[in-house]
Amino acid sequence: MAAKYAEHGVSFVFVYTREAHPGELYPHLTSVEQKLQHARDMVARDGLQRPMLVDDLYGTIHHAYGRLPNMTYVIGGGGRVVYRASWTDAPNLQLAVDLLLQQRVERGEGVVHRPYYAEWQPSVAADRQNFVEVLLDTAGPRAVTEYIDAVEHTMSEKVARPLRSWWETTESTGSE
Amino acid sequence: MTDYNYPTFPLDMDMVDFDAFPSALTVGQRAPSAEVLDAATGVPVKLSSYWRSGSCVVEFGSIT
Repeated sequence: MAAKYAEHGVSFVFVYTREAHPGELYPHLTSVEQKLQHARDMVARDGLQRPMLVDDLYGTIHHAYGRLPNMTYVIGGGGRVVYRASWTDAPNLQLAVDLLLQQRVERGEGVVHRPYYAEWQPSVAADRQNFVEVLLDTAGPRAVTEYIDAVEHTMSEKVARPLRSWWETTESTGSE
Repeated sequence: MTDYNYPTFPLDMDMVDFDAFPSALTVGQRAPSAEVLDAATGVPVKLSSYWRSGSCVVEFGSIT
């Protein structure tokens, strides 16, 4: 998406935060050097092309924007927030950026625009099984255990049961 | 620092932050900026430099 919009003057950056799910492979952060290394590992793993920017160890920027683990903002040319989402969802983001660009074209053609305020609560698929499998590879077994414990605590034993069952089987067979 | 960089995933999934998001930095407000490090070079840059000449999509996250 970043490459598609670059020619339209929209830049994309990634801000590296704290570890959302610290584990054996990527433990919690205790130094800027470690944070830089984790960020560089993510660039290499995911083949990120946009600038990877690393917040300070205390999360100054992360705090200022809301501290969520996977949020996205769009900043307009005037330096003001024009879009924000508590969860990064590419189709939703694309709608917003396309609209932003369309409005820019129209203003360039002399169409007068006035801002309005909108709120929306879309949803994304919550594939927790896939999530824990990725988490196991990325962060390690401890992160999986802690995540399943949290699911059970904040949601229900029923929601956590299939995850726990999978995890107990995975651990007992030693497949990971 | 320990509270922010928690060593163990919070049992409550940090739902407080999710609940507070609607009233956190909102549309129309000036985007906060501070120095961040460019991971490619290790050099400090102003976050706001990325939207000085146009719009900018800012995504947050970590490898875990």
